[in-house]
Amino acid sequence: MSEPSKSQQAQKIVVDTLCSEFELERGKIVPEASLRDDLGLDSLDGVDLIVALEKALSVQIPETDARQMRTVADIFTFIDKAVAALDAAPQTPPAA
Amino acid sequence: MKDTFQPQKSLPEGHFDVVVVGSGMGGLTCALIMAKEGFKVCVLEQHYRPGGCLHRFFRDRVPFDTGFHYLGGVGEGGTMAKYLRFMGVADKLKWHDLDHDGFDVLKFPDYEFKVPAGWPALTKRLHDEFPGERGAIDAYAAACQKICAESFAYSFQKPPEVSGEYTNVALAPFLRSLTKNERLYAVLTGQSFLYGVDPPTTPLELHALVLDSMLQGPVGLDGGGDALAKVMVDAIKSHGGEVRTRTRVTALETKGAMMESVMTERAGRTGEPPKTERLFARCVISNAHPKTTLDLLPPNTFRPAFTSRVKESRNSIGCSAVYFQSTSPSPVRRDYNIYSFPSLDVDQMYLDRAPDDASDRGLFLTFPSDREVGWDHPRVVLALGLMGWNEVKQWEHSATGKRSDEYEEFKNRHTQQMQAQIEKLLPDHVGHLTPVETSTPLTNRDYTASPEGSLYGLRHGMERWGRYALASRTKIDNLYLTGHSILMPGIVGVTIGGFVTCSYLLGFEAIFDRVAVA
Repeated sequence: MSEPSKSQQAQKIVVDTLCSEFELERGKIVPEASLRDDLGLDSLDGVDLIVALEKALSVQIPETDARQMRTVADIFTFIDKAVAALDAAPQTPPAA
Repeated sequence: MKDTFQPQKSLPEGHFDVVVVGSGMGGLTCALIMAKEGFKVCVLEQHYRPGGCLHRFFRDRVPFDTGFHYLGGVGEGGTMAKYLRFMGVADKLKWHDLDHDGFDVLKFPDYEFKVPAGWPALTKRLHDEFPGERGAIDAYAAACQKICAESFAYSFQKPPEVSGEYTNVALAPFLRSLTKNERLYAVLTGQSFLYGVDPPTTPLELHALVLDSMLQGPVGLDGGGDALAKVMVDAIKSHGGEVRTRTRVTALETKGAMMESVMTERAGRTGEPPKTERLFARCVISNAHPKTTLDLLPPNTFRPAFTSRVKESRNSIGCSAVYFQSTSPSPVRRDYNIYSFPSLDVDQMYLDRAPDDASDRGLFLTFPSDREVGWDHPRVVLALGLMGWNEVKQWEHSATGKRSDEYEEFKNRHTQQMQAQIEKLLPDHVGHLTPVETSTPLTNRDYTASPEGSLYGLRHGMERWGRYALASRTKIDNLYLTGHSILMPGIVGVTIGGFVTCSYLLGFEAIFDRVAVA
């Protein structure tokens, strides 16, 4: 079996974070799940979610992206974009 | 929108519409607003005097203020004036002006800058002192004033649009983008004690609001913080509210997903056991530090995401304070404060120091006896020095009055260092100063239940500003937070914060539209 892609690894971190930090059932965390209607996350949880995701994934989630996250798939889409941007960025040369 | 909270008629004894945990200015503000609106309110304070950081203690009947030294905006049209008027306490307070030509004097090793009141005067003085930096100064002043104008709860203006363009901007990078002048940078960041965050991580908006509130007209209060606490408590009582001192909250109790009651413990007379009492609350407002609030709740009340977010938030810096009496016959009267800096590098002051570091530290000096009307006690000099928790952490398991000899020795050494530093700044007091008391972040922790003795609760760095701010509302519908950790630190910040907290209960317009015309 091939290694999971960076995108798959990141998606797993998102699912794990939703399970552990928001005490949600893993089975409910499907791409089409609405954060509000299916997972019961309200605006107060929204802030906690951004803080938790930024910590777990070591990324900054700009406010405009955060506002567009309505479903689990929206989070995945953002993560894919962030991973692609990281890959496209010039590699930092190793420290001398 | 949820229905607003309404008072419940004929609540039995021991039942309240609102229980407020902690009697700092934020808690007193909430209690007074709610009592005034007809709610049955009870404030609980562990200490024997209400006020939290407003606390003033006495040694041989000489008063010393711990946390309240000056503020601004109490004059006509001022922000604080509107809030105090709305609460019905404005005319009961006697303010005295600080020197408007220089209310804060910033003393660097080879340079001094006197901060005048008002943006026009400040801008002019900066232009005079830094003629090559006019563009930078004007851009800085314009940004700060725009921020204030766009904050409705602060300026009560309704701008056509709120740009929010500075929400993600930090003070130091902003200033560095405008100027390379180190002296100007030091001057513009010198009053950062007022919110306790290092310039590189200070939100520009926080800096602008706090500084502007001082520029609106800096004043001291006759009677100090105690006088403010007293008029607030008296007003709460006049509206039927209760304020219980020496009453420690030992647990916040939930039923289902709601707050139900507050367990209290009141210290008994000597030899008697403490008296416990359960108070039932339709709503709880916690003015305690958010970490302390979480510790009082049943475990797992909140989801791990929220709990860890609060627990992992950094605290603001702590300070030591040395309280001096002075027998100086000097006619020099200082109706201003002094901020003293060991170097032009203000950022450096906020870094942890080695516990044995004896070099000068960032200091705030204030002289209430030189300016309070009707002061009939010996002269006093109050000196606050920035002090990180790391300097006293080794004694964290001790309590006030029961600390070790090593701690006492540390305090004595620190007092001597502070005195030596102060005598360089106040030659007219040399040979006349007697240290009466010294406090450290440990003292602050024990008196105000503020973890790590933090001066302003949770740190308001960029990591907790704007959308990262901790809200007054919580996932428990009838539990709210207030105090320095929530909206903004400082006396003006916690007062506005108290109104914001209550606006969730009473409706935003229902409160702020009335404050705007107060």
